[in-house]
Amino acid sequence: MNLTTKNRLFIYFVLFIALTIDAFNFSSGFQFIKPSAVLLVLVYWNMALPDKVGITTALFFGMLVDFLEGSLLGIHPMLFVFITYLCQRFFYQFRVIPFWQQSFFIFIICFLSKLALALDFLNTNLEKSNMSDSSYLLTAFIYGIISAFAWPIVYFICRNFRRRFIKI
Amino acid sequence: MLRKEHKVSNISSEAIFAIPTMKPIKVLVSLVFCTLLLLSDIYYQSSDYLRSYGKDIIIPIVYLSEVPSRSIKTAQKILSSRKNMNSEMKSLKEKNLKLQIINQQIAELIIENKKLESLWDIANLDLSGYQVVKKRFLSSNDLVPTLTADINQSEVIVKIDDAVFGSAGLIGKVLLISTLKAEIMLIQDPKSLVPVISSSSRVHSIAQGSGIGRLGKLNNVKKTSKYSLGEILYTSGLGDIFPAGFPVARIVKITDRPDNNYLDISIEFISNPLNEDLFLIYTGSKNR
Repeated sequence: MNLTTKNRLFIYFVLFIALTIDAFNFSSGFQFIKPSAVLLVLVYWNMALPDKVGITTALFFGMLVDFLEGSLLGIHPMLFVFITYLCQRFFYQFRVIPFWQQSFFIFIICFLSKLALALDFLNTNLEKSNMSDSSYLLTAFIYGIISAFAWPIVYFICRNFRRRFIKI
Repeated sequence: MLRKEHKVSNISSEAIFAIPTMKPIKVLVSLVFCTLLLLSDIYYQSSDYLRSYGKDIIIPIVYLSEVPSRSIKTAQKILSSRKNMNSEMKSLKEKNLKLQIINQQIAELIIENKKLESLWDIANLDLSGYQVVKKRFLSSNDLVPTLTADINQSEVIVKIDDAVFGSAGLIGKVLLISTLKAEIMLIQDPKSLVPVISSSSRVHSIAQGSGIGRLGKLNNVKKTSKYSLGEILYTSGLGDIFPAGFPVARIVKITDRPDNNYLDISIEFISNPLNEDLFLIYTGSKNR
């Protein structure tokens, strides 16, 4: 098998594992604040190997997340493409900054993406275009914080995987 | 050396400073594609077909996510001693006896209810038209919650818009069906509209959700309506989607604002899909 194909397969394999983690069902409020493993892993690969992942990966996994979550088709691919672009545009800077700054960047990304999911595309409420309220804002904030704390764990796991299995 | 790869990137994975950044035109094209997907879904519900089959595609992933918890449970079962199992069996037998007594009492109550022709109107429902389904996944977006459950089409044929019940009352309705799964729109979803009737004042209205863990509302209620706090709202059966007489919500707040033509009524939904694993899909609505 071609080395590039092999590497891509490994990356897709990790993303599928992340999707499996996301499919895990919690029977409490944690279900709504659990970090999105697919998003974190996608950010990692965009940062670590930007030439191996790109728009297609973001679109494909975005659609799978849409299928899983039952959300409006296209909302997750759009978010993932935008985040992929941001990561690839700034990966030079992102790779060299300290961990706490990387985590802060992750917090911003996750917080904003959670807020974007509250946009009322179907006009369910005629008075406003956004379904979020103070409680949702708090949920998005906690989601961002938990994702920021989860980032170092995802980073080290993916880095070990990359060093062991991905040959360049 | 492969095309598009710089010499430096072949030396070490750390030396990535020669990789060109992504072209903005690619991003723009894909964003336009995503917008088209969104628009087609909003105006033509294009994803209904795609999503139902998409759910079938990701079934293995959902099953895989259950492997750790199932293996832990199996290991616990194997490790538990015979003595523990015997005592467990004894307690289970006692529980079974209690349940049998409770079942007998329930059966008697149902007979009494039928005789009294109570609000529940259970006599009019076809009990063979129910299917017990297991919760498989609840979306992580609490504002637009959707529930995915396993269905068995060979047992009872589940259709779109069939009502779904939990232990406390109405949960939602079937939104999409695939070969093995059904996507359920919960009553807490802002898109969900349930025709309801109040328990004591007998006023009809429409209940709308605002997300899980949030208060819902009653739409367009006239200021002359005599609702009272704590009143239970039941399905009215209007619209022939939900059968009549099942508890939906409780009135928790009534506000009469002078600048509003209608009453602001906040409701608390009785059912909570977070704490339940098994649901009933009612497939016996006659007028659809």
